[in-house]
Amino acid sequence: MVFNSIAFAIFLPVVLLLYYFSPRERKNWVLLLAGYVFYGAWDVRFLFLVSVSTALDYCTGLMIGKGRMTLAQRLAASLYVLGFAFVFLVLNWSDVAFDQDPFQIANFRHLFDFNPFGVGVFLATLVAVSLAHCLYPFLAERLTEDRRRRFFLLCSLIGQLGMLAVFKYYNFFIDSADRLVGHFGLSAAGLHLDIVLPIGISFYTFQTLSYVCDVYWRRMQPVERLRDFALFVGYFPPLVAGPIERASHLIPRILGERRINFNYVAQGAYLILLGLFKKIAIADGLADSVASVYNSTGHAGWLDIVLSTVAFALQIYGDFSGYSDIACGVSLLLGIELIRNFNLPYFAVNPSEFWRRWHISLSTWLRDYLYVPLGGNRGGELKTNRNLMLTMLLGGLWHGAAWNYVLWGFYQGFLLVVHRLVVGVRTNVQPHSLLWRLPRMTFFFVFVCYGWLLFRANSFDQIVQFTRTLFLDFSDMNLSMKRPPFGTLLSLPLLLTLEVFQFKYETIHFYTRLPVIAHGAIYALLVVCLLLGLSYGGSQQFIYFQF
Amino acid sequence: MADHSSSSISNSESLSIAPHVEPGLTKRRVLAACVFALVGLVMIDIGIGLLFRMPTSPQTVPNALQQYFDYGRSVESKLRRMIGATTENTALIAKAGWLDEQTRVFSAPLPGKIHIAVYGQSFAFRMTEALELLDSRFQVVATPGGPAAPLSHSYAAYRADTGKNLPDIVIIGVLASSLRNVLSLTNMTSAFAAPAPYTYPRYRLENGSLVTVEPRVRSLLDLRRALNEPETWMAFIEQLRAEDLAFDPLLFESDMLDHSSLARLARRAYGQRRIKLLEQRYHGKNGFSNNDGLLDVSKAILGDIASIAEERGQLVYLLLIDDKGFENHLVNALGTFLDARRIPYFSTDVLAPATDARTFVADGHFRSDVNATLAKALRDDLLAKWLSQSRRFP
Repeated sequence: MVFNSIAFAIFLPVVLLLYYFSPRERKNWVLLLAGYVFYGAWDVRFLFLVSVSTALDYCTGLMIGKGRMTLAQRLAASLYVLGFAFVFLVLNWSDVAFDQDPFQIANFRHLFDFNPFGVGVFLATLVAVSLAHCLYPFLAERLTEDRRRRFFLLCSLIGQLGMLAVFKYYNFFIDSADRLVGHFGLSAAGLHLDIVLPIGISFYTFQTLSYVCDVYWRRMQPVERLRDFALFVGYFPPLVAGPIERASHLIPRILGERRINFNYVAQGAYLILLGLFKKIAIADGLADSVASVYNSTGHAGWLDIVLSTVAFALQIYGDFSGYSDIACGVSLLLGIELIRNFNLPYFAVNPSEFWRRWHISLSTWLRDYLYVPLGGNRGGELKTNRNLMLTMLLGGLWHGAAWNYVLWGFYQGFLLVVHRLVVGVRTNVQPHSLLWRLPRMTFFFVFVCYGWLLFRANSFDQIVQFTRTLFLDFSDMNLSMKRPPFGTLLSLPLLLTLEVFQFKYETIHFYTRLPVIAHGAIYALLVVCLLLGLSYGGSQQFIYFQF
Repeated sequence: MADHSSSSISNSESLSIAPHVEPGLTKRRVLAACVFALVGLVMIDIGIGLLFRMPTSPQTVPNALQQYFDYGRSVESKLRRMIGATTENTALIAKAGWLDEQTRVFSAPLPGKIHIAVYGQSFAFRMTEALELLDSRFQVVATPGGPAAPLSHSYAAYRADTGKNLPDIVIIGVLASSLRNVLSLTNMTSAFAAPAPYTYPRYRLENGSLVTVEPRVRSLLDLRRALNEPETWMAFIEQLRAEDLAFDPLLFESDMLDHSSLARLARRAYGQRRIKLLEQRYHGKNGFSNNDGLLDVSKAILGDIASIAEERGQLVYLLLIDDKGFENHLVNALGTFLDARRIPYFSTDVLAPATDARTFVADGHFRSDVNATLAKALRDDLLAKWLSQSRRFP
C-alpha cells in the first residue's frame, strides 16, 4: 500500500478512527495490526520475514540485556514466528488480492491448498525454534556474561544481515561473479535464484540492528514485551522507506503516554499535504522527463544530460523527502514524532553539510553504527579517511544491489575526504545567510548532481557515455528531453519559496509564524498544485521502495 | 555522512534529530487559515475560469492553457462545445474520421504510377507522404482516416471502399497505442482529455467469425441530432455502456463538475488513473495481452483484410507502428500470425526505435527525418514485394 494510493486514503481514516476510539491499552494493538495490513498489502508472504526479524532481535535483545528470557517470553516469540509461518506461508494467499481495489471481494477458496514451499519453511522454522529452546539453558546459564552478550550480538548480526544478503545482494554477487568467471570460459549463472526483494527490508533491518547494538552498548534496556517490540518493527508510517527509526527514540514513544493534541494533528496534516505535493506535483511530474533521457536507447546530448540530471535531483528529493514528510505527518496524527529525515539538502554548501541534511536517519545511522565502531576519526587522518570511504561505500551498497550505487557511495566518500583534506572540519557550521550561501550552494549542487547521474544511470556504459559527453562533447545541444508538465513547472517555484522560508525561519512549520492569510494561501496553493500534479496522471512508485 | 570531531556519540545526540513540532498553533488560527484557503481556492477557481475560458466559437483554436484547464471537462460537454449548428460552425477535429462521410470513388491512376491507398491515422499518412516525396513512381491516395484510428476503423473504411479504380496497393497503419480501441465504438472516452468524436464499428468474434456492431451514431449529422434529442442521446450512451470497454459515466456524461476549473482537474486526475488501468489491462512491459480477446479480434480483422485484398487483386501491406512506450510489441503480438498468413508487413521498431526519445517530436509523432528513413526502407520493401508478385513495374 503506498501513501499516494486510494487504498491508503481509505486505510488511514479507518486506522485513525479505530485508534482514536480505542482505549489506551488497545491503541498499540491497533497500530500493530495496521502495520501488518499495510505491509501485507504488497505480499503477505513477506510478513513472515518481518516476524523473523522481530522475533530474532526481541530474543537477542533480551539475552544481551538481561541474560535470560522467561518461559512466557520464549513461548510468545516461538508461537509468534511459527504462527506467521503458518498463516502467511503455508496458507495459499495467491488467489486473495487486497491491492488496487479496496472493495474487491477476496477469493478465499484456495486458501487451504497448502503451499509445499511454505510447509517446508514452516517445518524448518519449527526445527530452528525447537533447537533454540533446547540450547536455551546452556546459553543462558553456562556462558559468561561477556561471551553471552557477544554471542547473541553475533546471532543478531548474522541473522539480520544474512537475510538482507540473501534477499537483496545474493543475485547481485552471483551475477557479478558470473561476469568475472565468464572471462575464463566459466559460468555461475546456474546459481542465480528467482528472489523477490521484500519491500523495505533495508529499512527495518537497520532499524532492528540499531536496537540490538544499543542494547549491547548499554544505551538502552531491552524491551520486555514482544508486542511492544513488534510494534517498533512493524510501525507502519516509516516501515517501508523510513525514516530509519532508532530504538532509543521510537520505543519510549511507543511505551509512553501518547500525546494527540491539536498541534500534532494540524502539523501532521500539513506534512501530509506537503509530502503529497512534493511526490505528486514535483517528483511524479519530473519522472517522465528524466526517463525520456535515461531510459532512452538513443544518443543523449549535453543539454539533455544536464537538464535530466538536474530534474532527477529534484525528482529524487521530491520523492524521498515527500515520503518522509507523509510518514512524519501520519505519525503525528497518531501522536508519535518521528525523527527528521531531510532538512533542505540542496541548501548545503559542502558534502559534510549535505549529509547532515540528506537522508539524515541513514547518515546518522551509518555514523553511529559503522563509522564510529570502525574507529571514527580517532586514528589519525589516514584511518579517518579510510573509515569515511568504507562507510560511504557500504552506504552506497545499502541503496541497492548494483555497481552504480557502489560507485555513488565511493563518489560521496571521495567528496567527503577531499572536503576534509582541503578545508578540514572547521567549516561545519556555515553562516545562515542565503546571499553568502547561494554561489557556494550552486557550486556544490553541480557535484551533487554528478552523484545523482551515477545513482540514476541504468548501466556502467551509460555512466561512461554520459560522463564523456558532459566533459568532452559539447557539439549536441539539441533537447529531446520530454518537457515537464505545466503543473510541475508551476510547482517548482512554490517549492523553492517554501524552502527559502523554511531556511529563514529554521522550521518546516514556518507558516505558523506568518500572517494567517499567508498561512491560508500556502494551503490553497499546495492544494491547487497537488490537483495539477494529480491531473497529469504520471503516478510512480516511490523510488526508495526498491531499497 | 556527518563528520564528527568526537566519536563518543551519545543517545542525546541521536535524539537531536527529532523534528520540531511548533507550539502555539491554535484552533482559531488553523480554522482561520482554512477559511482563507477555501476563499483562495474559490478565487483561483474563478480566476482560471475567467482567464482561460475556452473560445466561444468552436472553430477558434484554443491556446495551450485554455486546453489544459479544459482537459477534465466531460466528453459530452466538450462535444456540445465543438459541434456547432452547422458543419461550418463545427470544430475541425469533430469533422475527422466519420466513416459514413468517407465513401469514395477512386480516380484512375496516372500512367506509370503505382496506385496506393492508405488507411489509418496520421502516423501512416506522414510516412506515406514521405514515400511519395521520395519516389515519384508512387501515387498515394490518403483516405480521410481518423485521429489515432484503430484497426477496426481502417477495416471498416477498407471494406466500404468498393467500385472502380481500386488502388494496386493497400497500406494499413496499425498503431500500437490505439490497438485496444478495437474493443470499442469510439475513442471518445479513452482519449477523453481531447476526444475526436468519430465512431466506427466494433467487431466481436463469435464462433470464429467477425460479427459487426454498428454504432448508433455514424456521422457528424447523427451526432448533432443526437445531442439535441435526449432519447437518441441516451440510447447512444446505453450503447457505449455496453460496447465501449473504456466508457465511464463520470468521464463521459456532463455534470456540475464541468463548471469548476479545479473540479475539472480532479476529474482529469480520475480519468488519467482510469485510462492507465485500462491500458494496463491490455498492455504491459512485456507486450500486449489478449484480455477481452483483443489480439484474437485484431488477427481476425487482419485475416479478413487479407482475404478481401486477395479477392480484389490488391497487394495489402501493413505498417506496424510502435509509438512511444511500445518497443517492438506490435510485431511481437502479430508478427507470427502475419508470417503464417503471408501478409506482408513493415514494422517501424527497428528503424524508429520507440525506446529512443529522439525518434519522436513533442506531440508523439515521428520526426520528419525518421519518417524519411522509414519511407526509404518502406519503398525498398514495397517494391520487392511488388516484384515478387510478378506485378508490372512502372
